[in-house]
Amino acid sequence: MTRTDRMTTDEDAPLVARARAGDRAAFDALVIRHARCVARLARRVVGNAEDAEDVVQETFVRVFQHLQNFRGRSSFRTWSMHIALNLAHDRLRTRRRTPSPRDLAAGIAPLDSLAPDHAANGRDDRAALERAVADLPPRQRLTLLMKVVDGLTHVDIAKVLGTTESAARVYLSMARSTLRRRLASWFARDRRNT
Amino acid sequence: MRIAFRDGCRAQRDALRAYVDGDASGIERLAFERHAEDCAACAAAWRSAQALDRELHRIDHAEPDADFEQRVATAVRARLDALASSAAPATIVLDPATRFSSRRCAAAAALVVAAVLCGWFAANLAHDVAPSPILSSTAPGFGTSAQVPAPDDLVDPVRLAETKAEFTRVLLDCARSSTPLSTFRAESATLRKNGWPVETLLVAAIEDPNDDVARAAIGLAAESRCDLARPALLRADRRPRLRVDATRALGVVADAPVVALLERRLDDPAAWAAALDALESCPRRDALAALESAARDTSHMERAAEARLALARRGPPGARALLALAADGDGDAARVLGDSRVVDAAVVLDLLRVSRDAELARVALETLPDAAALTLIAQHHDAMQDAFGTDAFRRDVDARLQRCFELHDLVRGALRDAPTSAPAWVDLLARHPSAGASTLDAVLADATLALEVRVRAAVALATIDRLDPRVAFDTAVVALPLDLDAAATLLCCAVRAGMAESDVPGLDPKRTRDSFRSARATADRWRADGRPPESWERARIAQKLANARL
Repeated sequence: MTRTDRMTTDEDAPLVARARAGDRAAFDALVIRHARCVARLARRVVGNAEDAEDVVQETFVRVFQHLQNFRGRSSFRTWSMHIALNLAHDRLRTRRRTPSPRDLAAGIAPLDSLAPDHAANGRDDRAALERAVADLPPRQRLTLLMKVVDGLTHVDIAKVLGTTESAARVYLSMARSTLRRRLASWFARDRRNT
Repeated sequence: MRIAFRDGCRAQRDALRAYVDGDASGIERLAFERHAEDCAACAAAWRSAQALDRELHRIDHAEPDADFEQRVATAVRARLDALASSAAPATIVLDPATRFSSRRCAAAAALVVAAVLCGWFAANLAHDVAPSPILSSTAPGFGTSAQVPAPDDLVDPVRLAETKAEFTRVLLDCARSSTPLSTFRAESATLRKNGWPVETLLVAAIEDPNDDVARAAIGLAAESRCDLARPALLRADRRPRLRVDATRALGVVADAPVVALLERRLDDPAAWAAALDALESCPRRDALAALESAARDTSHMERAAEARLALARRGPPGARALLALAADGDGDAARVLGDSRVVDAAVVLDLLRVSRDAELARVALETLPDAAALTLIAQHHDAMQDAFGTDAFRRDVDARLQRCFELHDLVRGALRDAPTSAPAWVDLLARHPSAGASTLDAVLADATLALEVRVRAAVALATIDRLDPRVAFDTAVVALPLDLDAAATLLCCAVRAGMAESDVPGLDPKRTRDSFRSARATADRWRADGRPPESWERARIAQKLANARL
């Protein structure tokens, strides 16, 4: 267990215990603490913010309903994220569609927020990277983003995805190598710039 | 990207990966940083990985708005309140530990219902809100639950009442004007934005005593696939005037137990039809099984017939269930399959490739019209022959070719529209000469078809000894610059039939005669040896003939 994981668990533990005893305020605090992280994961799966918000709500409803079953083997955050992932997949199945790369790229920062030295090639690079990330297999994409953007450990990622730590490492490695292969020119230019 | 690592830094790749992922220990980080100072390749790889991570942060930056957490907390609390209130009676009835007698259970349930109703009325009167259809019948759980009182800052009763009234108004307006519910969805989005649990409002509207309100809410629940509405839909299913709509909506809501409903509907044709409709659109696998079970039910023949039609309307999954029935000897199922045309080439191929179920695929192929079946067979002849067995398959194809009145038009149309399909069609017809030779003749004679196609047809006819030598000679001459091998085959056919002395128009007579003489000599040698001509020999002859023409 990493230090971050221990901290999260330690901080959540009293709130979880109080919530389990029926303290709604404690549960609200847990929701407020982890909703954003869960929402990011849900959005990556369902592809848009509205559906993601529905998934987040449903997630915490389920979390509350099953709080008695939470054994503390993982952190509260990864447990919630695992539930959110399953619900997001259910929602996708229900709608019988998968998010298009455009959906997945929804909410991306405007181009003028790029650094000036990247502005010239920013549009192409950004689009290429978005496309390359969107084209990754779902598990690889989620692993990469959870690792890089959310800063989760391999253990946490494995628990969220319901797999092993070594599998999570493999997903991450494959995602990185796929991106390197698909974005060869981008990397080359980056090396030249530096 | 391919980075030229030095021999000594191969081992640093893992270190780089761990370094970038933040998994490296302090000593490993130090070691890698020292290494990167000397190794340009590793340093470049490190910088690239960092740049990629930075970009990933940028493209995945989309964060929810500032009040997102508060909004989610409010909505979750409201939904939990609603669930807690609506789940209470069920808990009492279903708890096996209590072991109540049925009379005691009924009394307890009645007490609970009475208590809940009193609570609603008390809450509504206390809030001094104008009476509204929804307010007078709403389920507890809009923050006014007696079990878990909601704080005022989360649920304001007056605002809630206003929201409910507005919700009902918009819902009814949409229903009465037959407006698509997009207007309603826009309103819902606003409500959700303001932190109001739209699904909970919808559930309450479904249980409204006003049938119009309830029906509109049921329609919306179905359209929005509101899973939370399932208990309310089940209750609405008991109201005779809402039964059909509720059943249909239950079929749309993903995990609704519509399968069980079907069996209880045998006495009510309208409701049974609604349940059938519901099952048609229900994505669950057991819905399909329920339809199949109803279709097999010989004690209710009319219902079984309706179920077969419902299966056919479900598309390929339903087709597969019908095929299973037909394979078991159900002639009606086979007839429905034939009439509905639900089986197509894709279904047959899917059965062969994915399911590897040759028996069902054979039945599926039988239900296809001749034209579609022959087109499929032409494209996948060998695979199907392997799957179905050579003799049986050959007999089936022969029969189809014999009885297919529009075979000439079918083949010519296919060859005209897709010349690339010519090899498959010509091979099929040549494999079944008793029925296919006349069509090959027609193809050969059709000047509107591409020359390559006609030459191929001629070669096929020559191979099965059905080609007139004069036609073979003429076609060979035309085919010479196009396809030497085909021309050689056709010329061999002509040579064997004694056509060597004929003049070839437009060619040098002497050189042509010499070449033909040489070709004839070779053909004689083949006949004397009693062995078939090898392709290289034919090619050599064709080369000579081509030279003669040049």
